[in-house]
Amino acid sequence: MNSPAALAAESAGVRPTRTPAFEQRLARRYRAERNFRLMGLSAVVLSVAVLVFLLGNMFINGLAGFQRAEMPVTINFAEAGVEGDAISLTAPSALQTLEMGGLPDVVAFYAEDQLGETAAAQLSPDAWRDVAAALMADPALITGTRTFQLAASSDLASGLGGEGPPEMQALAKQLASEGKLAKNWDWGFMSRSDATSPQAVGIWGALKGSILTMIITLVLAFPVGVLSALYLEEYAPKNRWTDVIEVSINNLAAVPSIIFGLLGLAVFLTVFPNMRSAPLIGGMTLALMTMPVIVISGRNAIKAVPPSIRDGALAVGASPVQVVFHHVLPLALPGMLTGTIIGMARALGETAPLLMIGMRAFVATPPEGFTSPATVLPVQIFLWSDEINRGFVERTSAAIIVLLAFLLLMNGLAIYLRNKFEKNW
Amino acid sequence: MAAEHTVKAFDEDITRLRGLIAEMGGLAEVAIQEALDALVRGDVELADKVVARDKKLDVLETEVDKLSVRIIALRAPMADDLREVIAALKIGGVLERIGDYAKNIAKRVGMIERRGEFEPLTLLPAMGELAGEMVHDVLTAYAARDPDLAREVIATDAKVDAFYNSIFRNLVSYMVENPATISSAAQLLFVARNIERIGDHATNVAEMVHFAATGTYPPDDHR
Amino acid sequence: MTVIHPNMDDASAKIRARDVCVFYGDKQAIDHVSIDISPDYVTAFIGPSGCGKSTFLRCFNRMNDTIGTARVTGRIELEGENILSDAMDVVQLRARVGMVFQKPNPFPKSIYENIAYGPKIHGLADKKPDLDIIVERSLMRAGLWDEVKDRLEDSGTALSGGQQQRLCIARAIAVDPEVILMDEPASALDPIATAKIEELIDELSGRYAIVIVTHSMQQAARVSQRTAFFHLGKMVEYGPTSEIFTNPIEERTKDYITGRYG
Repeated sequence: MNSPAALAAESAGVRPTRTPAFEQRLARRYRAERNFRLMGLSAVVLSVAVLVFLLGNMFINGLAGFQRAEMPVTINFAEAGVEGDAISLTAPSALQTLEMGGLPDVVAFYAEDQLGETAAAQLSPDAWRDVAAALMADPALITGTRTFQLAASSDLASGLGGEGPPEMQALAKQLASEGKLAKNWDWGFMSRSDATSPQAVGIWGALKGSILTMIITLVLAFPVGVLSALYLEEYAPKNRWTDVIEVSINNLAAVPSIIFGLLGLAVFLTVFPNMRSAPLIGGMTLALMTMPVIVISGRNAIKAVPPSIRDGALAVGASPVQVVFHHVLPLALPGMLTGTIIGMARALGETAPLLMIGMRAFVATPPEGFTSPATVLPVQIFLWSDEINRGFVERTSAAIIVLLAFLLLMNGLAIYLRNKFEKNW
Repeated sequence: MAAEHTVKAFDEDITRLRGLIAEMGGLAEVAIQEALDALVRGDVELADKVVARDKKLDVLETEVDKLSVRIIALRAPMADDLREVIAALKIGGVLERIGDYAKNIAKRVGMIERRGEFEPLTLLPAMGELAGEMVHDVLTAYAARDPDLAREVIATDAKVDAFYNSIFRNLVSYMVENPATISSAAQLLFVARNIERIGDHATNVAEMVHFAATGTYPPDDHR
Repeated sequence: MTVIHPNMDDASAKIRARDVCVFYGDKQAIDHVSIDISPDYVTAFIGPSGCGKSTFLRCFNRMNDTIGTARVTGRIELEGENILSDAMDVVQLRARVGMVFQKPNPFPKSIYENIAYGPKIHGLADKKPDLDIIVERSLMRAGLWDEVKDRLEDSGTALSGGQQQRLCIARAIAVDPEVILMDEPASALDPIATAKIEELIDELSGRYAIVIVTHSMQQAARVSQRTAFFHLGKMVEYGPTSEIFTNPIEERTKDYITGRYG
C-alpha cells in the first residue's frame, strides 16, 4: 500500500507525506468532491429538463393557436355596388352603415359563388367584419377588388383538425384538397379582442388591458415604494414604531394576493361603484400588492450604499436631502429598479385579486382608457380555458405564450436597466 | 523608568549601550590610576601596559558609535531614549579621549630622571586621584541617571584647576632654581596639563549625564 | 489634569474648545477636553487606539451628529461662534470645516464632478467657466493637476489610492474652507503616497488650519508643529511638537511615545 514516493522518502530518512492513511483520506476527499459536483449538476439538469419540457409543450400547443382555418374569397366591391366613400367609411358608425348596406350579404354571395353552397355555409358568421375592417382602414378599396382570407366556422376548423362531426371532417378534407380551405397564420390574433367563437378571438383586448393596468400599478406603487424605502432607511428614528412598520411591510409582502382582491372589492368599488372592470381599480389593487416588494428591495439597495459615500457627501457640506438624492438614490437605483420590475412581473401574472374585483367580464372591444371595462391576460387565459369549444384549447396556449413573452420582455428590461445604471464605487 | 519597552529588543539594545559605556569608563579609570602609579614609581613596564591597553578603548568607542547609529535608524527613539543615545554617543568619544590622556601620561614615565628629588612629584598623585574620583563619580552618576551627582562632579573641577595652577607655579619656580632638571620638569608640566584636561572632560561627561536625565544642561554658574 | 506647555505664543485661536464631553449613550468617550487650535500650524492628535482622538476631531465639523446615540456637550468656537449651538447651520459649518477620511472615498462620478459638486451645492459657482477655474485651482493645490488634467471625465474611482486621497483633499479645498480635518489620511497608503500626502499637508498648512489625527508618531513628528496627546478620553498634554517628542512633561506621554505604553 506504500506509494513509491513514501518508500523513497522513508529510505532517505525523511518522514514521508504520502502514508497509506493519507492516501485513503485523499481518495475519500476526492470522492466527496466529485459526488457533490455530480449532485449539483444533476439538480441543474433536472430543473432545466422540467423547464424545457414545460415550455416546449406550451410552445408546440400554442403555435397551433396562432393559426386559423381560412377560406379565400375574392370580392369586387365596385361590381357589388357597395355604397360608401372616404367620409362614411371613416365615420364612427361606419360598421353599422356597412351592415345596414348589406355587406354581409355581399360577402355571402361571393363566398357561395366561389366556394360552393356547403362551404359558404361554413363561413364564420363574423367573417364579414374582417372585410368591413379592411374597408374602414382603406376607403379607396370601395372601388377595387381584393381577395380575403375569411375565417371558417369553428365546426369546420375543428373538422380540419381531425375532430368533431365526421361530415365536417370530410368536408374539410375535400375543401382542403381543392385549395379552398387552409390553416394560415392568423395575423389578426394580435389585434382582435375576445369573441364567442375561437376563430374570431384575439388577444389584443386583454393585452391592452394588462398594459393599462400595469401603468396604473407602476405609477402608484413606484413613487410610494421608493419614498417609503428612503424614509425608513434614511430618516426614521430607530425606535419601536419603525420596527413595527418594518415588520408590517415585510408581512404585507407575504399576504396571499386574493386578500388584496377582497380589499379592492370592499374599499375601491365602494368608492368607485361603476368602474367594476376598470384598469384603474385593478391597478390600484395590484399596486397595494406590489408596494411592499418595492419597499423591501429598495431598502436593501439603499443599505448596500457604503456609508463612506454618505460621509464624504456630508463632509463636503451636502444637506441630508442632497445626500439622498445626489448620492444614495443614484447608487441604489439599479437595485430598486430590479425589485420594481420583479414586483411588476408578479403583478402581471396575478389572476385571483382581479377576478375578485370583477375583471372577468366578457369584453369584446379593447378598453379605451383607464376607466373603461377591461380584462387582463391571465384572466383571459382563465376564461378561455373554461370554454367548452375545442378550438379554445389552442388559443389558450397561444395566449399563454403571449403572456410569457411579455414577462420575458419585462425581465429583459430589468436586466438592461440594471446594467445601464450600475456604477462601481 | 516606569516600564519596559513593548519591543523587548529595544530594551536589550539600550542595556548593551550602557554596558559599553560602563566598560569604557572602567578602563579609563584604571588607565588613569595605573599611569600615575607608574609615574610615581618609575615603573616603565606598567607604563607600557597602559599604552597597549588604550587600543581596547578605541575599539569600544567604535562599537558605541555603531550601536548608537543602529538604534537611531531602527528604533526611532524619542524623548529620554533619544537623549540617552545621543549622550552615550558623545560620552563614548570623551572617554576615549580621557584614555588617550592617560596613555600620554604613561608615555612620559620613561622620560623623567632623578625622580626622588622632585618635590612637585608628590603633588601630582593627589591631583590625579581627584581627577580619577571625578571620572569614577561621573560614571556612577551615569549609571544611576543622577543629575545632582553630575552637578557635584562639575563643581569639583574647580579644585582640579586650582591644583593645576599651584603645580604649575611650583614647577616653574623649581625649573628656575634647578635649570638642569628643566626637561624632566617640563614633562611633569605636561602630565599636570593632561590631568587637568581629564578633569575638564569628566565635566563634559557630567553635562551629558545631566542632559540625558533631565533634558536640560546644568546652569552655567557651576562651570 | 491636562498639561499645556507654556510659552506657546500662538496667534488668536481658530478653534477654541472648552470642556467638551462626548457620550455614546451612557459611555463617555471624551472627558472635558479644552484646546486652542492655531490657524497657522498643523496640529496633530496622537494617542493609543480608543483614546477618543477621532471622536474629538469629528466634533469640529459635527459629524458626530450622524451617529444617533452621540451627545456632545461643552463649547466649541469657530472664530467666536459656538458651533455646537442649535442656531449653527451644520451644512454651512461643513463648508468652512472640511474633512478627509482614512479610506479615500471619492464619489462614483467623474474627477471633474467630484471637485465641482461642493461649489455647486454651496452656490460658489454655477457657470461652467467658473467651475473650471475652481476645479483647476483645487487640483493644482492638491498636487494632482498634472496627473489628471487630460482625463477629468474619467471616474474618480479609477485612480490609484494615493491619487484618490489627493482627490479627496482637492474636493475639501474646493469649497474654500478655513479648517481642514484629516482623520489618519495616509494610513491606507504606501510609503511613497504617504510622503506625497505629507508634503501636501506641509504646503497647505499656511493657508488652512489643519488638524490631523494619526497613529504614527513619526508622522506626527514630521508633519505637525503642535501635538496633543490623548489617553482614555482625556487630553493629557499639548505643546510644540519638538518639545513633546524630545522632552515631554507628563509621564504618560513619555511612556506612549517611547513605546513603553502597555
